[in-house]
Formats: sequence, C-alpha cells, structure tokens
Amino acid sequence: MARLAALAVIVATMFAVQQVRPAASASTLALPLGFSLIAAYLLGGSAEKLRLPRLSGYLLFGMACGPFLLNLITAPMARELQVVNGFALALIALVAGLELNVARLRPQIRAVLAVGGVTIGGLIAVFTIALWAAWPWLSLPGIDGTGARFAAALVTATLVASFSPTVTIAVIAESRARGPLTDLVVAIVVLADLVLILVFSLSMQLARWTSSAGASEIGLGVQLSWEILGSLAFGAIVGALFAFYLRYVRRELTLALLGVCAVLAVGAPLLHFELILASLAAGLVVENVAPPEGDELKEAIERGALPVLIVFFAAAGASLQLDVLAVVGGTAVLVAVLRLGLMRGFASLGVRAARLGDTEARFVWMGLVSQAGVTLGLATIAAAEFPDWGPQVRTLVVALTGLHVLIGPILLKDALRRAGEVGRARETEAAAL
Amino acid sequence: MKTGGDWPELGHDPLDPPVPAGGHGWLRLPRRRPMLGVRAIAAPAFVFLLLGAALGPRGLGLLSPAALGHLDIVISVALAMIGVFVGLSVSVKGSDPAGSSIAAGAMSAAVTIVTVTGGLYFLVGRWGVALAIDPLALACVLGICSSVSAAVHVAGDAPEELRRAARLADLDDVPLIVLGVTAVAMLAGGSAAERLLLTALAGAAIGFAGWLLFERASDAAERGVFVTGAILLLAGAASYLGTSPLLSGCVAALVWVRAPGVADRITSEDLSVLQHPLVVLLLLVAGALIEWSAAVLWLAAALVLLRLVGKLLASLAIARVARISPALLASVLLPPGIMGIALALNVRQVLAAEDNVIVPAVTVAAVATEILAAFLPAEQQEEAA
Repeated sequence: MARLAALAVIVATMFAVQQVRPAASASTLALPLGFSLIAAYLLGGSAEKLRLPRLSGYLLFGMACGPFLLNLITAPMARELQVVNGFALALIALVAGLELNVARLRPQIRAVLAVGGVTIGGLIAVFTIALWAAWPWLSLPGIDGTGARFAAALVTATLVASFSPTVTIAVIAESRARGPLTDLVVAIVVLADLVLILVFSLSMQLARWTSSAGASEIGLGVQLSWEILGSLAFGAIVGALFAFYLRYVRRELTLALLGVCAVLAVGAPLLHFELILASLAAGLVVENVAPPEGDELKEAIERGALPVLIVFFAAAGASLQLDVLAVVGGTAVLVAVLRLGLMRGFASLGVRAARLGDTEARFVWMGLVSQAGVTLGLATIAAAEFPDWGPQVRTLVVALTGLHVLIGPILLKDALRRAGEVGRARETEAAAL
Repeated sequence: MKTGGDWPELGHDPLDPPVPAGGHGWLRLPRRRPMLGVRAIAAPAFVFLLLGAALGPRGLGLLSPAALGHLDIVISVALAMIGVFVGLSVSVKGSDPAGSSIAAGAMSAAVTIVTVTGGLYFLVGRWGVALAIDPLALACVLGICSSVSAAVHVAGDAPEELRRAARLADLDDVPLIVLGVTAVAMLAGGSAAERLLLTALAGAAIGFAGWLLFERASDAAERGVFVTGAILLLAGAASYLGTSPLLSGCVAALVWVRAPGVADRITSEDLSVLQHPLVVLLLLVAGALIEWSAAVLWLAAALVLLRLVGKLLASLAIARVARISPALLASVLLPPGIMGIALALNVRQVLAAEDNVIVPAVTVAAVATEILAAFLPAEQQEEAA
C-alpha cells in the first residue's frame, strides 16, 4: 500500500512539474532518470506478483509513460534516456562474461556444442534466407542491392536467434532448480551469447561493407580483424586491470564496477571496437584468469547493475515507436511463432545428435526462448549504425523481445517443473547440511 | 546530534572534513586539512580542480565541451545531494542546533556576503571591465558563493572553543541556500516565485515518497534504487523548473528529518556512497571550466582579498557572542567550502552561454584562498587544542 502511495505521489509530482514550461537552460535528463528508476522498479515488483519477470514491468512502464501514451516521459526525454544505453550494454555483457566459467562448462561442452550449434546455426540460416526473401513484404524499409539486403537480413536473423542468459539465470535462481536440464540450458545460453555476439560483429561488418559499396579503402578482413581482435584485446586489458583491482584493492567495488563499464562504454566506440564483445572479453578474463574471492563482486553487481538495468529497459520501452509497432506487430507475431517452431525442431535435432536423454529432448527448447538485454543492446547498436533500416529492425526486435520476455520465463519454469528440477537446489543444500 | 543504535553518528555536514592532528612540514601540508571541505579524498581537492583544468577544453581537451554538457547532470545531482546534506545538518533529529548558533553562522556569512558584494560592485564599477552579466548580479553571486566556509569536524575530545567554532562554521550555509536559491531562480528569468514554490512542493512530495519507500526496502540494492531515484528526481525537478536543486534537496531532507522513522539516516548512509565520486566530478568540471582572462584574474584576486576581509570582520563581529577568540574563529572560517563552487556551477547552468567568468573566478579564488588558509589556521587551532 505504501509503495502504491509512493508511486502515486511520484507520478503526480512528475505530472505537476511538467505543467510548467521547462526552463530554457533546463537539463531534462535527471527527471526521467529518477522517475524511471523508482516508478519502473515499483511496477516491476507488481509484475513479479503477477508471476511475470520484473523486466516486463520495466518495459511496460516505459511503454505506458512514454511519448505515445501518457507522455510523462516526453519524446526529448526518451531520446536523452538513450545515453545510458552504452553503459548498460557494457554492464550486461560484462556480467554475461562473468558467468562464463570455462572449467565449469568443460564437462558439458560436447552436448552444448551440438544442441547450441544446431539451434543457433539453424535459426540464423533459416531466418537469414527467409528475411532476405520476404524483406519487401515485412513492413521494413526497402534496401537497394542483393548483398546489402542479405547483410541486413543476417543482422536481423542474428538478433532474432539470440537468447537471454540474464533472464534464464534469473528464472533458474528464482526456481531453485538443479539438474541436467538446468545445467544444459545455462551452458547453452551463456556460450551462445559469446557466439551470437561474434556472429553479430561479423554480420555488422558485412552490412557496413555492403552498404558502403566498396567506398572504404580498408579491406573487410582488416576491418574485421581490427574490430574483433581489437575488441577482445581491449576487453582483456580492461578485464585484467579490473581483476588486478579486485585482487589487490577490493574497495568501493560497486563504483569500480561502474567505472569499468564507463571505460568500456566510452573507450570501445572511440577505438571503433565492438562494445559488447569487449565487455564480454573483460568479464571472461576476470572470471577465468583471476576469479574474485568471496561474494563482494556479486553484491557489487547486484547494487550497481539494478539501477542501470531498470533505466535501460524503461528507456527501451519509452523509445518503442508504438505507431510503427502497430505496423510491425503482425510481423513480430509471425516471426515469434516461426522462431518457436524452428527452435523446437532444431533443438530436438541437436539433442539427438548429442545423444541426450528424453527429458532434455522434450524440454530444452523451452529454456532458450527468452530474449532481453543483450538482444535489445545489439538491436540498439544496429539502429544507431544503420539509420535507414536499423530503427525499424530495432522496433521489430523490441516487439519480439517484449513477447519473448513474457513467454520465455513462463515456458522455462514449466519445463523445469515438468523435468522435476524445480526446488532441487534447496533439497541438495539441505541434504549437504 | 543523535547518536547510538546501529547508525553511525551523523555529522552536521557530511561534506566536511575531519580536522587532523597538527603538524608541520611542507610535505605534510596538503594533508593537514582536507581542502575545500571535501572529506575522505586523500589528495587535496585543488588537485582535482587543477586536474580538471588540465583535462578541460583549454588543456588536453579530454573533457570536451560535449563531455562537459553530458556531465551537466552531475552538477544537478551533486547540488541536490548537497541540499539534502544541508537539510539534514540544519536539523538532525534529537539534536536541533540552538537558534543562537544558526544566527551566529548566518551572521558570519551575511557579513562576508555584504563585504564581498559591496566591494566587488564598487571595484567592478571602477574598473569598467566588460562583462556579459549585470555587475550587481555578478557581485551578488560572487558574494554568496564566497560566503561559505569549509566547516570542520572535530574530534570528540577537542576543546570546547574549537568545537564551537567548527559548529558555527557548519551552520553558515543557511544564507547561501536562501540567497543562492533565490539568485538562481531570478537569473533563470520568468516567474521566480512560482517556480520556487513549485520546486519546494516537488521537494516535499519526493521527500514524502522517499519516506514511504526507504524504510520498506527489502534489501540494500532496493534501497539504493529508491535513494538514487529520489536524488535524481530532486535534481531533475529543480533543473526542469530552472531553480536550484539545493532547494528541492533541502526541503526533502527536512521531510525525512521531521517524519517518524529513520529515513534521514538511511539517506545519509546511502548518499555517502555517491558523495565522493560526485564531489570529484564536480571539482573536475569546475576545473575544466576555468577560462583564463584578465577579467577572471581581476575578479579572483579581488574575491580572495575581499573574502579575507569579510571573514576577519565576521570573526571580530561574532567572536564575543560566540565566546570564541577572533583569531581561532577566523582560522576556522577562512577555508572556502565546496558549496560555493557548486553554487557557481548552478548559476552557470541557468545563465548558459552568458557567463564565462563566475565559475573560473570562484574556482581560482577558492584554490588561492585554500593555499592561503593552509598556512594560517593551523597555529591557532593547535593553540586551542
């Protein structure tokens, strides 16, 4: 009740303040930032009570308060909120990298490669061809040139195929699940993240190459090498410095973590590196070369990441062009249905190839449906890079993500329940005691 | 001041530094008293100002005008945070300072404001320096910015006289809040009274919402979201309305102090995490905005001298009332507070391109005064100790 009252007071304050014309010199960023942070968080809590992910609440908040509905976050404010994007992307990818412990993943590597490889490869291949062929009929802007359209289709297909380790891990942690299916799903989504980011970087390079029609004097191979290897090297250096800090300084970890994200977010674009790849590499180095002791980093991530993610998802919701969505909505549903069907088919093929059990064969695809931060982040990069078709693709991806962030957790929880793995972590811990 | 329980003791002004034990020697000089009233920063604060100048557009250019534009939000948030701390300091539950202390602190600041404003207005008129801003407004703003002292925390076993002096220096920011906030609203143009009222109401409303949320947070991460969100809202509402976030922050803090519960202590504890990086960024921005010109140098020199005269006059005027020796009081009141720089940045926000002398003059004068103060006060404070 108190939270509801607080939400009402904040909404009323926001409304009252906006009745006055803003000062000419006014910087409007702090207002939507603060409003999004508190109000979206409270709405996220309500979504959780409805058994929906919190992220859905943040997105819905952004949509409801954005320029197309309540207009509490006006169009200029929504644009200003985008400044958190780079920072949030760095943080999301860094956290994803921190979840990639190579030693822990080694025993499952064959099954992960088979299931993940077949699923991702199949999804990207089918969607690239389908999108390339159907592009003119999908309410997306026309692209001149077969190569350019193919590159755009490849970028979009990579986005459509991507998963969400964040949501998947959050659902598993919440369900206290443990078992073969849980382990397999976590390993696939985390490793797939790395592969998808690499594929995305390659496809973006291809899109740049085809859209510039050979205007660049630098070869594609050189550009790719610089971007991918450079990103990995840059991320590794930042990660190594952070690992050094974690080992020898260990103070103000939340601020240090946010500082690392700021360095990545500012440094990577400046050096023409892929931000997500660099951030992922930084996380990988920290986790696998010099893993931090204790829970201090985990606590720092919880403290530091929460506000950034809230604003990121709220901003994504507020920037959602609902008018375009009305046009793209049909396509989004169509793509989502096709993705679900293909995912189920390819995952079954992968499970058979890896000779896994019946449980995994039946349910593994249900754990791969979620999409969230990384997908939105990649879509944002594409939108910024290719203003001709990127924003519309991002709108399509935001619509897809909205669907998948709603459906994915429900499917995953159902799969874990049917596999009998919900609550087994608690039982295991109790048995150990 | 209320202490005890699980909560750390609240200082009257959490931006203030502790007073370290005395000592001599050039190498130890910068650490004798953290400069500009910034606590817990190992290096003296003027190092950050100089670093900002080195990184700024007239230095290496790493802090470009565009980057400084992005950092505008930092100024607003820092001002809101300072406003909150001032609100908490003026009235901490269970330890409301005596009216006489507030009056003495306000009088000290008022004497400085009158001296600096009058002197500067006279000098600027005589010099005939071409300025983009009205000379009276300029003199008033510089007078207000220079009024605050870097109030110091003293050890619990410090002599009573030194504690009284430090307490008085703590409470000299009330005129800055009142006059500074009014000046910012008037300089922004339009209906100042209406916007000030709306800012105060917004501050109260956000304070009320914060009070509803802070204590009910389930964990530290959630509480951090609420406190950070509230500070951003306080900063954003005031910036949107073209007023000072000092006002909204101060009003919200008064709500947290007066309302039942421990919202004030939660805010103080959580904000301490943001305090250091924000203060450092504030100093870097102020340093980066230094533009060397004849007008800036003239104004800064006049400001240093007039502020010195103002503080000496203030010490003489209130020493008897406060039962503190004038020399000790002057030594405590002389170091400039960071709030002056913060207010100068706030004025620059509302004046936008019109002003290019206020922040540089205040910053240069603050560094000069701090260097000057580093030599003067220690002997008096040691004698008192």
